[in-house]
Amino acid sequence: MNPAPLVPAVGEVVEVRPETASGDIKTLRVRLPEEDRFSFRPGQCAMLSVFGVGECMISISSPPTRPEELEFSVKRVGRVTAALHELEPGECIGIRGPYGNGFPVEELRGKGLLVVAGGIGLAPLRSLVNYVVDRREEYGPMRIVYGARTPQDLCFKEEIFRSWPGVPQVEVHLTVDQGDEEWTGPVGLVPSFLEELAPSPEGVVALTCGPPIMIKFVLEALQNLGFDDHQVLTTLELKMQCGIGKCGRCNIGSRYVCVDGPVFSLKELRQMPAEY
Amino acid sequence: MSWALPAVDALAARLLEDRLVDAVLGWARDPDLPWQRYPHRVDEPSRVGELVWDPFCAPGLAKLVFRMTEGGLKLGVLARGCDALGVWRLIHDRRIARENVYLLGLPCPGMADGVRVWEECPEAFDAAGWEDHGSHWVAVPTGIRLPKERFLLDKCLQCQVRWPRQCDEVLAVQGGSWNPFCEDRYRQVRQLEELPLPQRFDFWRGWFERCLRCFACRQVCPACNCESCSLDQFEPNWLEREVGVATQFIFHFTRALHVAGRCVDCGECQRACPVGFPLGALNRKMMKDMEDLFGVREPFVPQESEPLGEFALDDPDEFR
Amino acid sequence: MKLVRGSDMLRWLRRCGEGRRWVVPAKEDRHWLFAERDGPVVFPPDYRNATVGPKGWLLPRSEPILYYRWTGGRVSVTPAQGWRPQVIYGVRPCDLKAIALLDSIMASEPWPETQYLTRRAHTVLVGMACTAASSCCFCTSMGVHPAESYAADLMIYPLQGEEYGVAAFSEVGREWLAQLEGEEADAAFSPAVPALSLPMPTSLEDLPGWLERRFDDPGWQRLAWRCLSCGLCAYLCPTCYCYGISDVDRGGAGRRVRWWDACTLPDFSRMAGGHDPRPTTTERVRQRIMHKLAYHPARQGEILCTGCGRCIEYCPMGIHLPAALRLLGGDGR
Repeated sequence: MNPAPLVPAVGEVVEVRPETASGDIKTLRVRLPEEDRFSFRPGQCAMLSVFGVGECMISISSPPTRPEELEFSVKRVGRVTAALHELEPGECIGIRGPYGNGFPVEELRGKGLLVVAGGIGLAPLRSLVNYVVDRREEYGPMRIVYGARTPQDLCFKEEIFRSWPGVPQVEVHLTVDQGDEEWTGPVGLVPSFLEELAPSPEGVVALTCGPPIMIKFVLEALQNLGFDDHQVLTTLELKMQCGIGKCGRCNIGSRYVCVDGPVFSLKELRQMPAEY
Repeated sequence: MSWALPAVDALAARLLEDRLVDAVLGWARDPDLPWQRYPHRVDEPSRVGELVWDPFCAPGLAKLVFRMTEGGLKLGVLARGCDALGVWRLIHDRRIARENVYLLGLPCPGMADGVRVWEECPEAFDAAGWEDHGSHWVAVPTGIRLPKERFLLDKCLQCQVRWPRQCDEVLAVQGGSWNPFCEDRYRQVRQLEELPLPQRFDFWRGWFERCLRCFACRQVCPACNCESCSLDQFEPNWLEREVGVATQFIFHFTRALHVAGRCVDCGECQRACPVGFPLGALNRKMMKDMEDLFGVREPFVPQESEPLGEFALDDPDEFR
Repeated sequence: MKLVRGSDMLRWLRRCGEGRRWVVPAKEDRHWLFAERDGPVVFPPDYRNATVGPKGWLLPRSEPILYYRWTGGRVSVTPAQGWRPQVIYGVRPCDLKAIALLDSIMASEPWPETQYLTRRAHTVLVGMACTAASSCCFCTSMGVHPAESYAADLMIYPLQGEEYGVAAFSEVGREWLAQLEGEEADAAFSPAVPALSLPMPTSLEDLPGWLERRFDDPGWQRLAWRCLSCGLCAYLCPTCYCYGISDVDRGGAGRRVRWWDACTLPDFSRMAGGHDPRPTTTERVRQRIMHKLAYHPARQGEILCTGCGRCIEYCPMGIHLPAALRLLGGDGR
C-alpha cells in the first residue's frame, strides 16, 4: 500500500518545448529520481503539481518504452496549466501516478490501428504511437489521422512530418481547418477528412481523442465507415482532483474516470450517462 | 384572523386567468412529510388548489423568484413581508425586472417550526384550516392551540417585516406589522457590543468552529445575488476552501459587509443554517450601524438610493 | 452481552479509553454535535442523533495532505500526519453503517486512501442502539437496522432505567469488554421504530435499475428547480465523502489541503476552460441521488444511504429522497 498516495514525488523539468506558434501548448520533459520512477502504459495520466498553485491531471505523452524521462504536453486553460507553462529547465515539479487504465496494448497486439486525433488530443495517443513504433513488429499497419485549426496549431511537428512517416507500415494524414501560405496539404475538419480517407474497419481498432465536438463527429464518421462499437476507443476528460478514485469528482455513472478511464470503448460509453 | 386560503387561491387563479402572470409561486403541502411546505409553482388556474397558506410555509421565496424570472417569465408571488422585501432587493439590484413580478401581499402572523410541532403535537396537522389568535395559532375545527412563543421559527420570532410592503395588492385580511415577540430588534446586538473584546471574540470563534461552510446562508440570501461571488473566485483566491477560524472570519465578515445596508432581514440565512449560527446578529449589527452612522430609519427596506450604494463627489469622508 | 449500571459503564469506558481523545455527542445551544470532551457522558432523554454526525472526526472538513517549503529553487515535501488515537462514543447505527461504507470506499483498490485508513485504525467506535427515533429517520427503508453494530467495536443497548447491555464486535471491543465487570446475559432489546417509511417503488435490489431507467425523467427537473445549490445535504450526509484539494500558500511555504466538497455546489464539476457536464441543479441533484442509490450500488454493491434523515430535516427548500422517489414514480406534482 502506498503510504501516502496523494503526496507527489518531486521531479525536475529537463526541457520545455513550445508545440504551437501561439505557445498555448507546451511539452514538458521531466526526470524523476530513480526511486520514484514508475512503469505505465500508453494513455495513462499523472497528476502534475506546482507547489503553491495546485495540481492537474495530464496524460503522459511519451511512451513507456522510453522510461528514463516522461513527457507531458500541456494546453494552457487555467491557473495550474499557466503555472506549468512558466516552469523552466532545472525547476521542480510534483508528479504522482500513473493513473487510469490506459490503452489496452495487449488486446491491440496484431491488429491494425487507426489513430484519429485533433489538436492537443494527440498527446495521449502519441504515447501509443511511439510505443507501437518501438515495437513495430507486434502490431499491424497504423494509420494516423490528425488535424488542428491551423498548420501552426499542429503539435509534435518533428514526429508527424518527419519521423513517423518514415516508419514501416505507418501512414500519417494531416488536415487543418484553415490553411496558410505554406500549407499545401488537405484543408477540412477531421471527421469529414476521415470519411474521405475511408479506412476499412477490417481487423482494425480506431482510437480517437480530441475536443468533445470533434470526438462526437468522429464517432459518427466511424460508425458510417462500418466500425463496430467495440472497435472504437476514446478518452474522456472530466475534472479530476485526487486521481485515486476517492474524491468523487470524476464520477460518471458507476465509473470513476481517473481509475476506470480515461480510455473507454464506444460500447462502454453508450452505457454511461451522457454527462461529459 | 383566518388564514383565508380560499381567498389566496381565488387571487392566484384570477392572475392566471387574466394573463397578468405566467405562473404563481407559493407553497404546497409535502405529500410525504405532514409538517413540510415547499416552494411550489402553479401555471394553470385549475391547479391553484395545490397552493397552501398556513403556519408552516417556512421557505422564503425571493431567491427563487430571481432564477425563475431570468428568462422573462412573468411571475405572481405570494409574498409575506420578508419575501416582498427580498424581491425588492433583487429589483433594486437590477436582478429582477419590476414588470416581471406581481406581488400578492400576505400579512404574516409568523411561521411555525414544523418539525417541532410534528414532534410535540402531531395531531395539529389534522387541521382543515388555521386561525391566528395573536399569541397562538388555532387549528380549525379541532381547536388545537399552538403557542407561538414555543413554536415560532427563529427568523419569525425576530421578525420586524411582517407586513408585506410595496406589493401590487395585499390580501385584505387582518394582521398588523407589529411582532410582539420582537420588541427590541437590537437586543442581542447590544448584548454582544457590551461584552469585553476577548469574550466577544470567543463568542464568534465558537460559532466559526461550528460552521460547516455549506454555503446555505449565502445561497438562500436575496442580497447575495452577484453573478460570481468573490468567495468562489480562484484568481485571486480571496477565500481558501480550507476551514479554520481565520477563513471562517473571512467568509462571514465578507458576507456581512457585502450585504451591509442591503440585508432585508428576512432571516432566511438563520433558518437555513443547520447548526444555528446567529447570522441574524451579525446582520443586525450592520443594520444598527446603518441607523447610527447614516441615520437610516429602516435599513432593511430596499431603497432606490442607499448610503452604501452611492458615490458622491462631495463625500465628506476621505477614502483611506 | 454484559449487563451493567450506567455509572459503572462510564467508569469502565473512561478507564479503557485513557490516553485517547473522546468524541461524544454534545448539545450546544439547541443543536447536537459530536465534540471533543474529556470522557463519555450519560445521554439525556432528548438525544436521538446529532445534527452533524461523527463523519468529520474521520474525514475532517479540511485537513493538510502535505507541507512544502521552497529553498533556493528546490522544494521539500513532507506528508502530513493527521491522527490521534480517539474514541467516538454514542454513534447511532445509521452513522455506524455509514462509517462501514466509508471504510469500504477508502480501502478500495488500486489506491487505498491511507490517511483516512490510518485515522480509522486508531479509532474505537462505541455505538448506541436507538431507543427513540429522530423525526425524519428512515433507516429500515434502506435496509439498515436501529440496533445493528456495523462498524462499531462496542455496542451499548439502553435497557431498563439505569441498566445497559454492552456487547463487543471487534478485537479491541472484546479486549475492552473483558475488563468490564458485569453479568453475562441475553437481554431482549427492542429498538425504536424509525419515524418514516419511504414510499419505495421497488425492492432495494431493483432500485438502481429502476433509477437508471429514469435518468431522463422530467421528475428530476420538478424536484431540482428549487435547489439553491448549497452543500448542506452533502455536508450533513454521513456517507457523502467527495472532497477537493488545493494549496494554501504563504509565500515560499505552505500546505496542500483537502476539504469537503459537494456535487450540489455549482463549481463542483466545472473544468478549467469552463466546460461543465452538470450545469444546472437538475443534473446536480440527479447526480447526488443517483450516485447514492444507483451508481455506487452498481460499483460496490451497497446503497450509499443509511436513512439518517438529515437531508430531509435540514434542506431549506424541502428537497429529499421521498420526494424524488415519488416524482420519478410518475406523480406529477
